[in-house]
Amino acid sequence: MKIEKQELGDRTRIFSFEEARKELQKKEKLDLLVRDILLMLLYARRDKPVYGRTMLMKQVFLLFEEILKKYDLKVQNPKFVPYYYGPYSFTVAKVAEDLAFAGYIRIEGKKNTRKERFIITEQGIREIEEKWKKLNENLRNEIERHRIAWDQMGTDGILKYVYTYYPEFKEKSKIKDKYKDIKWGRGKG
Amino acid sequence: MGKGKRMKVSVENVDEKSGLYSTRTLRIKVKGKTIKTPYRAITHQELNAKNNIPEDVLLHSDFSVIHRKFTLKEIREKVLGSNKYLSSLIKFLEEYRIRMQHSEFVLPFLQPYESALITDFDKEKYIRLIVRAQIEAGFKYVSIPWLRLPAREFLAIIKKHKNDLGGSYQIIPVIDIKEEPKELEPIFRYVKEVSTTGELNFFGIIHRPVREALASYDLAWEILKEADLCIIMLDVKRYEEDLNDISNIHLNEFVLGDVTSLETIRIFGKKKKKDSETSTQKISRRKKPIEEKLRIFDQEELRVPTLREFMRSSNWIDEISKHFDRSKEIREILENYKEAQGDKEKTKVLNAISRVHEFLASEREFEASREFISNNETEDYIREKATLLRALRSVKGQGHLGL
Repeated sequence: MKIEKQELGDRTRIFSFEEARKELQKKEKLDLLVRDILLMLLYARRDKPVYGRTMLMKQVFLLFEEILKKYDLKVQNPKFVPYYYGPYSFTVAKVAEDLAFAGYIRIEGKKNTRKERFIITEQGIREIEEKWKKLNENLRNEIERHRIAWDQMGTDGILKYVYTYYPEFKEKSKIKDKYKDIKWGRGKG
Repeated sequence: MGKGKRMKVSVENVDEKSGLYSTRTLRIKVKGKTIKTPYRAITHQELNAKNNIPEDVLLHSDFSVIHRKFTLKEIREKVLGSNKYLSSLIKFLEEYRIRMQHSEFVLPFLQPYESALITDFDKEKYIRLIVRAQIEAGFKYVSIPWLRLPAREFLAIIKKHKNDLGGSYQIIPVIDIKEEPKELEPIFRYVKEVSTTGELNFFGIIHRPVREALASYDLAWEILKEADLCIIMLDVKRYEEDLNDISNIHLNEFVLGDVTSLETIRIFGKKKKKDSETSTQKISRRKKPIEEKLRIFDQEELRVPTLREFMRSSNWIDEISKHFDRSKEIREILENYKEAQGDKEKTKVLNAISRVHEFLASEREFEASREFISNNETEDYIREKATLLRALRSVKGQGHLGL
């Protein structure tokens, strides 16, 4: 049976096996996959967890948008879409679950709360260490510095930051009115 | 934590000149790294300032301080009697502990306002509940607030909590330097003695202007200058108007304290109209220009002048924005600073920029001064900072550097 080409909401395309095989042959090799981005984020401060799913999602978003794009790397696009709490990637969510299932990361604490913790495991460290060492030193430093800086903001802080600088991702947000939009250079806000 | 097994505090160098300055460097060894003091801690309010811009620059500090103050009403009606309030307090502490997780030391202080200590309340119960809240929130360092108890009673409480909590926790006793020396002396001697066992590594002191507590400052320095104990100066006011707007946190570096933490301010609703105020005063208060309201830290001078004064330098916008990751956006805000006049939200953003800029610039300055102190060259450092020199002469006596 021939499967028609389909496209999901986040522009992910679905192929039949044969079509997928052909597409893969055409694709160039990527330097970093979404799983690598996620593992690197946790590896950058491996002794400290990222607290909360929203925080993890926004940190991957900022790492992709503000840091990785500045470097000459071929990176898998996590395909972020506007969602209930700003930018969301179904790929990142799925990859996080897969990494936990495979034992590369540990997810502890009550699910979907700010106390839920995402921690890289020894297996995860072994998995990403080589790739991490091969990264440009400036990039490594930048990821380490930003991981701490983003953690310092807390969930509310990182949401406010993302909503301010990426307003295109807040159209579906349930909490978009919580953060006031302040415009400078046009008189009073 | 195991009674200081994971950390060791030792005095590296004491540098003092009678009548002019008293300072020292400590080495704090923890988890294979060494932290040197004097050091500026980051407070939970400075962390919030970053979010109010918003800006994602890293505010690095090995010491994070959560300093919450309570009114008498809050103590009586909430802390001592409301499960809901204590639960929200634990949540508040927990949230900041998580946000500050990358600091080596996250230190909570839950201190009543000075005005709350005039009237009596069940002080033992207050300490018991406050200690419990800190433990519930996951802290390993637990502060014992200053409640103006007689030294004998306060020491009994400290000893009790130290024994009850055991090796997994470490207590941080807090005192107010404004108390009379005779009340403070037994406490200073006790903390010095216990610090030798490694059971006590931190000692909190609520800051006061030197002239309000001259004898107590002198006593604290004499007893504690050689003690392997890290003194945390708390609630340090941002600047001292009487001393040419000197940054108190930098002045204090040469008076007492190894780690200093800025005053935290709580805002309690709208200010009531003062009956004594004339209508002209009311108008002038309301219409105070933003250039007068906003203050900016001057790293060169170690002062916190008004924006109007700071703006006299032609490159003031560069001077501030260079510290930020989003310097382009910060420049745009500063170029349009006048829009904040009468606009609360924009004023909040400008204040936040000023606070974050101060933290970043001041932290760099601490790095520089630490080296001078460590090398017994404190006098050279002070000689370079005219406002600091004048302020120290004023607060420490009449020392001269031959200038």
